[in-house]
Amino acid sequence: MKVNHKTFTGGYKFNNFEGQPSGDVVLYKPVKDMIGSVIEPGRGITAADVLDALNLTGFSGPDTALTETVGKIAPYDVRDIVISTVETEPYSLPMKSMVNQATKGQFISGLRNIQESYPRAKMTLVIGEDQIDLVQLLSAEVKRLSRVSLVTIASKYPANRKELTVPVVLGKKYPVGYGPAHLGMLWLGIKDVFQVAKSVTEKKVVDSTVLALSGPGWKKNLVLDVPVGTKVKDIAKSYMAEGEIRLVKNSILSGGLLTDEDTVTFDTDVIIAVPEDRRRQVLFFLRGGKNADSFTNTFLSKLLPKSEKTAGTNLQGERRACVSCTYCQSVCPVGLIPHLLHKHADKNIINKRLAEYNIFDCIECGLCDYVCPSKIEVVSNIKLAKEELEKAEISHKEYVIPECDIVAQTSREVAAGE
Amino acid sequence: MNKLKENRIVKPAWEAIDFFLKGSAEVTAGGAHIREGMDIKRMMILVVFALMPAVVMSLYNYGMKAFWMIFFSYLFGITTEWIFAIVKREEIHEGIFVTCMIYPLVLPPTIPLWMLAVGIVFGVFFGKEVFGGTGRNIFNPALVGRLFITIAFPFYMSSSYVNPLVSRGHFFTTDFAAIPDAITSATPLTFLKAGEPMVYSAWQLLMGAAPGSMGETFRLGLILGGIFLMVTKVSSWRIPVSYIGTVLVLSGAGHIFMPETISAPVYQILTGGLLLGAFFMATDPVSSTYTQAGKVIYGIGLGVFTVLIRSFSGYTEGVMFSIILMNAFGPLIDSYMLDRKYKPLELKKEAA
Repeated sequence: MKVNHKTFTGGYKFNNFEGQPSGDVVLYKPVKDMIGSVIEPGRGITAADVLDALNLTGFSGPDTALTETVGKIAPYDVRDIVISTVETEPYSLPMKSMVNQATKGQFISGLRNIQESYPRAKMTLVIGEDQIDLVQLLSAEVKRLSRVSLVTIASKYPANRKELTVPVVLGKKYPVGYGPAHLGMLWLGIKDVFQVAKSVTEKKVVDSTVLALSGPGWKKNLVLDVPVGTKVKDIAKSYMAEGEIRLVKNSILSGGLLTDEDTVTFDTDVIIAVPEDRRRQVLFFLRGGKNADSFTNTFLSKLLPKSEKTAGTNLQGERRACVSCTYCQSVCPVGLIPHLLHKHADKNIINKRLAEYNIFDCIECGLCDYVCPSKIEVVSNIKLAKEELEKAEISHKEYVIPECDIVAQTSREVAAGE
Repeated sequence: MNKLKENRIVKPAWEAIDFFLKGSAEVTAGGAHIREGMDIKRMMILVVFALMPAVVMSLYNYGMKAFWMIFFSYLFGITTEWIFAIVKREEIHEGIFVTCMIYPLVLPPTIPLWMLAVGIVFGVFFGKEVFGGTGRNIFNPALVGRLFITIAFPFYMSSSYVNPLVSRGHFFTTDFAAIPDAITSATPLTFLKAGEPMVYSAWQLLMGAAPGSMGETFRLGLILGGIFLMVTKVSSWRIPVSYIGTVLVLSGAGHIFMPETISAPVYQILTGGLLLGAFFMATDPVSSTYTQAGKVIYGIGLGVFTVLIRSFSGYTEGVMFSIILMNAFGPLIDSYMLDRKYKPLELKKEAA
């Protein structure tokens, strides 16, 4: 089977951070008093119903802050289904644990269920170029399905984001801030396929989700099958190591903090535990850094590709004024000039010019923060500027997005008519 | 002790030394939760590190005088920066380490130390602090200092070059006039300007056998240092490559048509401060352009100005002037590039 390969400019390849989970999925002992949405299988339940219940087929307003679903896309209107299995984060859900010889059948039956529910949809399975095992495992099976294609994509962060995958893989502009349903498409993760298979084929109750415990802050890095609604506190109690540790949901670069009160939801893929690293490293700037990760080639770790990179929350330097080193500019996956946006926001020059600098294209992936040698909070500044612009009613809602047709209008009418 | 640390005068110096030796204890708050290891200190120290071949060669060629020049440059440069850190209640920026290292390297080794001190104080003050410190300056501070003393003391800056290895057997002598066989001579650029045949071979020029500014003569070391910076991504490859490329092409073509006025490309590159300027001063991220295409235009502009000034003006050397000139053009180039890249947005039509 011929596999298309796609690449893109910008982005950054993370590799080999310490505390990667591996092994088969382990069942987490359920705790009493769980709350959370449960999908009960009934007679004639379809993939569309499951995805609906998982909130994957709705479209909200063109404002990301608006989480309330306004409408649902009708199955007949779905033209594209993109399923991403790309692992590009420093810590992502390990595909090897999810799809292997044992679970392959379940995965394929999930794909088939989805296909039956969406008669007009073309399905694209996106796999990272590093995950050759997965391509070999699936290509023969996928070949037998019609309307399904397999595409590999450069394993650079943030290739796992829909805002990046859709333009690269499907060749159409993704309007940042809109939901995938606005484009007449569904954006699914690998877990969603399994949930569909579990409910439709196996007729089981979907009440749990798979998540990985990643990072050096866990006693053991496991992949767990956890009932939805389980408190993060309870998981931490059983598996977290000693010390002051920060818990982050899904992405260490752009994810939010998890507190004791937070519970596991269907979209929890990874819980990352990183130690709050307040240790000062004497003469750090002179050290070889065989375990330090860097965008530049100034550390020994670049010569030792197998070295395990340490992860901690230390700032690794002092905050300084921006020197326009252009690191952020060269990693930005959507082609912005982050330091320029930061300087405008910092000096409080927030006007239409920023919108023209495509500030609304920012997908807040956090790479500019990561590479900044002056340790500036670039993304936070850009977020602030966006909020200010919205307040001043200069927002992406007001502008034409070139080369992009938003089709959701018709589906919304269909949905409303039913 | 703690009271002393918070003292307004001591604080910037204390913090600078403390952070320099011990590193940061701060953790990330907001944005990305982990940060990469590269920081401004490492970046600046690597530039100083890349300059080490030139520095070692200066010490070898000019003895203790070279040492005192570097020492006084750091002493006065850091003091100026410190005073401004006190006045503005800001921190000492690590960029000063590079400024104070490059500055003595672009001076003739015979320069009196007081003159050197005047230059670095002027350069740091008017080249950097008046704009608001590192990150906001338009011009390269080391070159502003050199430009000032070139104009203020033209005699010293144009005719007082001595042959390398002057301090052989006189390592601790700082007054070269006292050395009997010290030859005050013109730099290779003067030969080219006068249309005289070049007395140095390319190899001699590469290895630093010709007189010139203290740090510009050991060109092989500069090339290695420059490549090191580009490979490690500390500096951008676009500027040096387009700069040197333009000089090669322009002087190559010019030499065919006007061999009397425009000297051969090999000598254009291997004389004067071109390599030092291209690898270490034109690449200064603050004062150069930041757009990718802008960097190439910036480099081409540098090449054009260098060849023009060297060939058609009263000055023998054009690198310093062209870098200062292109520093001034930098914001204009960037702004033009931004206008080309980002078009005005089109407002959605109101739905009827």
